[in-house]
Amino acid sequence: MFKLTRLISFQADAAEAERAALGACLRAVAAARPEVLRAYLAPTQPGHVNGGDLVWHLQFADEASCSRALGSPGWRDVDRALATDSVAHLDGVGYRQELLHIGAPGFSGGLHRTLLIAVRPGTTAAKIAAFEAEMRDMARYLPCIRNWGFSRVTDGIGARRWTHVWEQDFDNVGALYGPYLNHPIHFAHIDRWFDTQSHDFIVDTYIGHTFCAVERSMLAPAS
Amino acid sequence: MANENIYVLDQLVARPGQGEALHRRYLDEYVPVASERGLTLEHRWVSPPMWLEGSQSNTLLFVWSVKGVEGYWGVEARARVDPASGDWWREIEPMLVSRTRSVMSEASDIASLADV
Repeated sequence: MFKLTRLISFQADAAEAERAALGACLRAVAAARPEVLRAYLAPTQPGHVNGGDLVWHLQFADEASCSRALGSPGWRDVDRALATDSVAHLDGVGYRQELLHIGAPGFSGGLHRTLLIAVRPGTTAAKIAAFEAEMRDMARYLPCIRNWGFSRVTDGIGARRWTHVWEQDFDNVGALYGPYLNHPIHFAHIDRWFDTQSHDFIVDTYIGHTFCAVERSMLAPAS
Repeated sequence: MANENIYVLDQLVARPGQGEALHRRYLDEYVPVASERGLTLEHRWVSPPMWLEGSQSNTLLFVWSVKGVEGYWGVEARARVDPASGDWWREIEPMLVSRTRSVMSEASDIASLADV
């Protein structure tokens, strides 16, 4: 599976009509493209960090399908909509979802969290490998993470040269800001990669942390 | 999860002959900043307990504490909004052979900390 994720930030004074028109455009174009297996556009919930106002998730069978869709004439409408003055900023990533754990395939009515990160240039391959291994291992200690995916970014746009996407399904925001944040595996172990004062600091402090309500998992493949 | 003490241990191996100067810089330059962010300095240990000369290195260990995970995140949040929070650590790199920072608790607190 190949995925695109877009974090869309509106200008503060963007009119409701403009926001709605953009949303309608994205939904219509995605619905018209046979390459799009699933698409989901949702408002970002409060508490995000550089997470935008809207999150747009798109699933494709593979990268070639994604490229076909993005190169299609109809997708020009998306490009134009995202380039309008009402849009203040756009972050996005394209990635093959290679590390995926679906512990709750029937997951419904919860929260999907996306974290875009940029490992700092010059970080050694050994450090990156150690970081990735620990991220992959994190969920075993945290049953509050129902489903998760950790992927290297193929193609990123926005404020940073995004390198990785960390996605999780939670039952609710309380699980994200409670058990997930406060477990020792997070604050006393994994977080050192993000901590500017740690000897293992490798992740740029500018992150894209966003989450939205979902009816069903956006990590599970389209059925 | 109750209000356990969380400890932060900085372990610095000084370049030979730099132990005392590094110790002084840590106390004079870093301790006030970290204290302001909410950490309490519990110990400042030196191994061996003398300033080595020649080709040998002192190891400096600084043990900090903060009350509770929420308190720890508060300290971290204050550091991360400071764009210069990593600068001091880069400045002292020429004085270091190596360093680590570890976050820990009393072993007796493991169960309650994991009960989130």
